[in-house]
Amino acid sequence: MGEISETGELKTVGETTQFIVIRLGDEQYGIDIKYIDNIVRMQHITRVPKVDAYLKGVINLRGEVIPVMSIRVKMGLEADVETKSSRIIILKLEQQGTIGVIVDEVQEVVTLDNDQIEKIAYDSKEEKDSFLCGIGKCEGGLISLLDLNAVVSENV
Amino acid sequence: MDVSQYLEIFLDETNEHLQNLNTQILSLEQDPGNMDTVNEIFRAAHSLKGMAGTMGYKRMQNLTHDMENVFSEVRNGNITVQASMIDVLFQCLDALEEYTTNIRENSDEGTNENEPLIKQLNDILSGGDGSGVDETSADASAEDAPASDAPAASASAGADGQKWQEIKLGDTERSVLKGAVEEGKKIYGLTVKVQESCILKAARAFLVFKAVEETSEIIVSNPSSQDIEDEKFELDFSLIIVTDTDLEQIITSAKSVSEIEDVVGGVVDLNRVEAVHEDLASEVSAKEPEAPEEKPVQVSAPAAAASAASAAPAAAPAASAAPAAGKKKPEEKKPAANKPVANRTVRVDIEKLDTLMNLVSELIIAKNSLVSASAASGTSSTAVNEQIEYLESVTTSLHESVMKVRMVPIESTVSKFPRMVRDLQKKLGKKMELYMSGEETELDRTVVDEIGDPLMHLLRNSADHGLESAELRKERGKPEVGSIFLEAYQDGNNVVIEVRDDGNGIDTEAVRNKAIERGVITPEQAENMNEKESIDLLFNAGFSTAKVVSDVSGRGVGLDVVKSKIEALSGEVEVKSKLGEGSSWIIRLPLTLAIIQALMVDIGNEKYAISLGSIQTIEDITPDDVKLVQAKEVMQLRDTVIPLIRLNEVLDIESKKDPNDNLVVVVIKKGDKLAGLVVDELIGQLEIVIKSLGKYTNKCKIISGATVLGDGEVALILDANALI
Repeated sequence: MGEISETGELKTVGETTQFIVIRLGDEQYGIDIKYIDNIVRMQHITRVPKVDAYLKGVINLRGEVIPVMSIRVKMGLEADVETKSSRIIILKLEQQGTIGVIVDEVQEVVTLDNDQIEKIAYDSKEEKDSFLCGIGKCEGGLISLLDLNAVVSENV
Repeated sequence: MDVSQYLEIFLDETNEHLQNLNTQILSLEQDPGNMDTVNEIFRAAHSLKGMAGTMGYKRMQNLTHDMENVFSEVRNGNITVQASMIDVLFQCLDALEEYTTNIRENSDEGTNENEPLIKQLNDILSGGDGSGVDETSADASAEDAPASDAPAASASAGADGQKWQEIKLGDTERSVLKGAVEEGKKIYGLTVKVQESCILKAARAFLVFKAVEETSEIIVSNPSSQDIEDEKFELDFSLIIVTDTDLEQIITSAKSVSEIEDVVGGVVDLNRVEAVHEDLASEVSAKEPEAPEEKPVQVSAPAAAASAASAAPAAAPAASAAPAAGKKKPEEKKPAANKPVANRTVRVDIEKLDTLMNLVSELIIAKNSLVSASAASGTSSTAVNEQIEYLESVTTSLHESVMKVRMVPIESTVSKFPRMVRDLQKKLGKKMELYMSGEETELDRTVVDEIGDPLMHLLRNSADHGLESAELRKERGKPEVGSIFLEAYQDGNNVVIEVRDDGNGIDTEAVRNKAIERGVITPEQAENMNEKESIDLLFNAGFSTAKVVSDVSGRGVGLDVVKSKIEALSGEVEVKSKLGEGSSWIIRLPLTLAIIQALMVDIGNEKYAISLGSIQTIEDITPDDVKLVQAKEVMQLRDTVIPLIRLNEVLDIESKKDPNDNLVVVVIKKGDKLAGLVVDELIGQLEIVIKSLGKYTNKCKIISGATVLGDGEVALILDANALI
């Protein structure tokens, strides 16, 4: 089913952080595994009228109604195209609660040493709506690490 | 064992007693001569004192003790009830409430001694006793009251109550007792009888043990303390104790534990016991292991003589006290008889009920899935259908039962209001009377807990802003005493709580001026406002029309909080007002919060649920029936013109229907307003479980929640109130 629920065991060890690598279009992004509750296949999303465009609607996850948003729309990319490899990643955040985000593909889990992560020192004025918190370097190339709080924040 | 485990019971009971005291003192104020009320107050104060004492809250105990003294004097006719005294008593209740709050928050009563209050109480006492009587004599006279009760109780219990006489003593215990006598201590036997309605007998027994142990040492108990702890006893238990204190004092302290029906006791005559024992021992009788000292008369002569001699003095005072008791006893019994007898209840944590409710919700979803699965398979036989229908009726009644368990009468919340209005009356210098009805109306527990504050705001608002001063009322030809009404009743799937007053009503002109002054609206806007819109301004944050800011109202935080709180409970507030005649605030609350009956409708390719409670009728109309009034679509429904709302437009959906086809209109109502919702198709009625949409999607006001359908899909619930 492509579900990874034993996140507890895959947690950060020592100086390293684990990321799930996802694909959005041609780019690879990393999501800190400690925020991930679940990964589910695409399913019917019930549209909610009169809300921001990036909110695609709500889904039923084992009896709970959970909002789903599109990272693509939020980041200003072209709208999602649903394919066989599309997934909904269920994030559990302290402030925002549980929310699902749509990604094009879930690729792998990488463990990055903290010195493999380069924090982005961006000018806050210039890139107010940056969704990244760092860049990870590994054999496969560069992974943009998503700042989840910025991604799911309600302000566009 | 540790007292803290009884803290919950203590707090619950203290609240009940305080509430009771509030109510009774209020009625005492109305009818100062009523002895039943005085007795009831005395009883409640007495129980409070006992409870506080056993839990070790000394300050609380002292205060209640002095209150009790006052009442005991009132009961004896030495003091008459006066208005000033009532005020002091109410202050005492407030102080007690403060103690309780402290205890609830940090299991400590705090350090406030409330000396001024105690002094005032003592002043009342000394004033009532005549001139020059000081505190000590007042205390002494108060001591008389319980003291005279004690022998009365033991006398009325008679010989059959003295079960402690049946206690068997072993060798070790006898030697302990003998040693105690040599030390000059006294030995008593006690029999404690617990009320039949008592739920936690073991807890009560423990409190009695604790009370007795303060002054004395318990040597033997029957049944054993372990059995008592395990609640392995009927309604009474007996103790043999060694002490320095008087028997009566011990009995009084044991009696102060609530739900104890009676405590009787007497002096244990060690000689007699011993004589019996030795006698029996020498006889080498088979009876020995049985109760040896049970009936002294039956055994040999010397022992009988000894016991008769000791019994005689003990019996004499008891007998002499009996006539006095005869007068007092019926009085005391009366309030006890009024109490509900043995209500078989279980206290349950609200969280457990929530879990139960969630499980019922899941069950209903599962049932809906089953229904849709059987419909989809197309092979449904009559047998399957029958079983599904049966399951349906079972889940529906299960849901209703769980809902009922969670329902409590609003009485618990509103019963504090008469007291509050009384205080307001003094504070505001206005004359007013609160009339309440429908206190028995039931609502979900969570709603009842939350509704108290908004109601209090509204009552204060009515008292402060609504009612005019007595002079003005007289001028206007109204009765001097203003009336505030609090009425609750059920209306379909809603509960309506109405706060009404016969005061000035809302001066919309003043409201508008104020709003302009505060910059809430512009003067141009004000001109175009109708009455209703002006009244709605009151619910704006930071709005207050009171010219003087008082601690009653006028801080500008009242009504907007009321509104948001009630909306958080999915209710609504409506205001009706007539200048010069009064205003009424109508709160409408849903009966249930979690599961509702809903009508499912199709709009385009989407499914929506509309709460059945807000639906008036369903109409089928032709496109010709749709008329235009001020460029808005309306339809005529039995002489009333109602606006039409095309849901597909509101919800941005493309309708599947041919514009020339007939329209399906769901007529919904909100209060006395109607509107027609145009939908594509009706699907049917369904029991749905309401799930919150969370904060991301709450921007959409017309959606009040979501529900999971039988096939696992999510459908949104339309909020009829927001649509109108």
